[in-house]
Amino acid sequence: MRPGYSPFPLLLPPSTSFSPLRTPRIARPQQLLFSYPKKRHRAPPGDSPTRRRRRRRRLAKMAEQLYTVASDSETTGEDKSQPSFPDVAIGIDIGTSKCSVAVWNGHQVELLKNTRNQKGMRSYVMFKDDTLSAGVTGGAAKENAHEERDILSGSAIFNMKRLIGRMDTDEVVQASKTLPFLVQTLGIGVRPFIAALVNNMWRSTTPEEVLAIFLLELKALVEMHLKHPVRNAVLTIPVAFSRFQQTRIERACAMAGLHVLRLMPEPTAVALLYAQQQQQLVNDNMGSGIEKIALIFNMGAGYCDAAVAATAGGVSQIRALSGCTAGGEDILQNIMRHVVPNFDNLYAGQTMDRIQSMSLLRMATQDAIHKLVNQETVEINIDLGNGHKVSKVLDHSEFEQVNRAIFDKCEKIINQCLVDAKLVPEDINDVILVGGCSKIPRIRSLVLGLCKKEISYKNIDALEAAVSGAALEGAIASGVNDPSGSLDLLTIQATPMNLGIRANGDSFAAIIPRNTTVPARRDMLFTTTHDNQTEALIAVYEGEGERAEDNHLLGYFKITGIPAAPKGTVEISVCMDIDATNVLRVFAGVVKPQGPATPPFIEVRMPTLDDGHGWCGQALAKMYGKTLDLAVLPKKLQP
Amino acid sequence: AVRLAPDLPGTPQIVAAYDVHAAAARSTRNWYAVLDLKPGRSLTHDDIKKQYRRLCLLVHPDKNPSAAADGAFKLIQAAWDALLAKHPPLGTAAAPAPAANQPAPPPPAAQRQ
Repeated sequence: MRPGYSPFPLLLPPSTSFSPLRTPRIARPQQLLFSYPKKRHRAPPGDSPTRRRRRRRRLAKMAEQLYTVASDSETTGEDKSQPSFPDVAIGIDIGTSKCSVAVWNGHQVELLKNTRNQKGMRSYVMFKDDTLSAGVTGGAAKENAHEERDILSGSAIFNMKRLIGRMDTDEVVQASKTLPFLVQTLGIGVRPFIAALVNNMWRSTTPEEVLAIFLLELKALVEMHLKHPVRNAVLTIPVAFSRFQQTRIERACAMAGLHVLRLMPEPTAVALLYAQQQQQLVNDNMGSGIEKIALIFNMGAGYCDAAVAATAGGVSQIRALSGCTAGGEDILQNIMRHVVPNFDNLYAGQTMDRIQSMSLLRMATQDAIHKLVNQETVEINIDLGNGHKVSKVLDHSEFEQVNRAIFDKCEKIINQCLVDAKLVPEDINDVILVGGCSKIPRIRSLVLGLCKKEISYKNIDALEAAVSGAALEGAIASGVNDPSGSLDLLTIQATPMNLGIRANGDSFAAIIPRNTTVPARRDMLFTTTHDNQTEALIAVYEGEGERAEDNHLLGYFKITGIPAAPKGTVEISVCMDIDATNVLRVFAGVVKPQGPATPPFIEVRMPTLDDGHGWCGQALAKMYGKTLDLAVLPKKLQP
Repeated sequence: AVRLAPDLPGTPQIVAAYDVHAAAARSTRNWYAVLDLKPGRSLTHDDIKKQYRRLCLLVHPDKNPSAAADGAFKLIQAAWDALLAKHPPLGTAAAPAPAANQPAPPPPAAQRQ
């Protein structure tokens, strides 16, 4: 198809865009225990001293390389001394509950297993006296049942993905207060305080830090497997993640010494895998090669997303995306509240006995939900301590009743996806259900019912699809070329949310509407709202709300030196640009009147805000009122 | 360059990206030229779609390492949006074109060079 094409990164490595500025230099936490040096030391019987010495030297060299990557990010991909391995990005799926990692091994995507032979590793970090251990290796626990009890003891932090980049006024953070570790909120719009129980003391940490520790262990696992350092990664994220949350994920990766090549919404990673499978069918002369439209529904423990993708010739174009924060965790909490009606009173404060009793309830409820997938009814019998016993039989109709709000949310995002893609259910060729919660019978029947389908697409593993897609994207974005053509693929991404600025008072003017193909560049003209207005405030928001305040503030800047003129005559252009790596830049400046008296344009990379998003908008309003406002220039006045 | 060094990797991609820019620069509103198509009666929705996909695979920044790829992809996108409105898929010819009330922006990259 493309003659004479060979992996280009040798000449122009994609990693040249990798700026050391974005990656803080952070040394590896010393307390982390890596299992592989120990393993390599174990000499096989009958080993000669010379060979052992040689191996030790090789090991030392390897450790050196590892060190270079972890702490000195200025070494770029051009290091010609190690050309033996191409720098292929790995794919990571960080789930609310489980994580997995996959790599392109030159022929296909390979999912990696940890030392306990698990592909899906529980996402948590255990805090002990002076050691930290993440779910990758399983920490101290040897058995799964024991592990679960340890996780819920208060010493482990989990559900990082639901907490990262959220303010303490966020309802998801509020709901996380029932978790066994400490989530303290003050309700003023700053990051929550989270802490793990160590020696009967709450020790503080942050979601980014916890995620970084986890990623570091994950990275060590991959490096042990590939026997060379790993630098780049493609991560999957929920559709509902704001751009600010994305920067938090990037920061956690940087702390772990990983450079984020792409952040892919989870359903789009699945779409890429689907595109590859369709392409293979065409190559085997079994598929027709005409365009196929797939609806992908992904529901995990923390988030729920839907996407519509049109696939033909290995190109998968994302037509629509939508997502919300509803997942297995919400189902679990609903059931816990249903089983123990005075749940909130009972577990108001986090004392040792309450944490223990709640962890028992959590485990029993989780177990019951899992059983209910295959059974008609399930019995919950637990002794919560203090003479409090719970005994309840739960059936499907009751389960659906309790979680109706969640199923409604799922229905809403699927319908929105279909409307946005301008499709009717009959247009859909395949329905792909992925994620842990896609096993729930009600979810399956709901999605299939909305798409008027009898069965879902079968060739995709519900738990491994996202990570496999991420690894594929990693190989493609790293410039790997496969002679058999199985990498002649492309995902054309779309924006999941409207991007725009505040204008016409408190309204939100969307400059790049949602589901716009990325890379994208759109501009819009604005004008002044006061006579002789010389300054204007550009407040950039992301979201679906009609009013600017309902959306997420990404950043703001001021245009100064606007020539004095009657209101409504000056033309100010605001242009938004998203490049292939999903970086958002905003350009703004005066376009009319032209001349040497106008100030130069301003280019700002978003998001600029680090914290206190709610506050900033209020503070700006208080400080300046309407003096710096802009209005959308009506279309009929535009040339 | 194609003639001189046929083995140089990525040449078709780079040439394709610059072709797109050149076509856009010649005439601002001729979206047919951007997609390297000839306007005419016989041109169908599927033809455009096929050509659009072919060019996407060539110039999408994931596939094309040249600096021109980003701008070229945006131009192709604009052309696709504009032509989609003119050539609706068969069977939905009566449907109002959604892109009509949102004229595709003029080629931005061409102005900046």
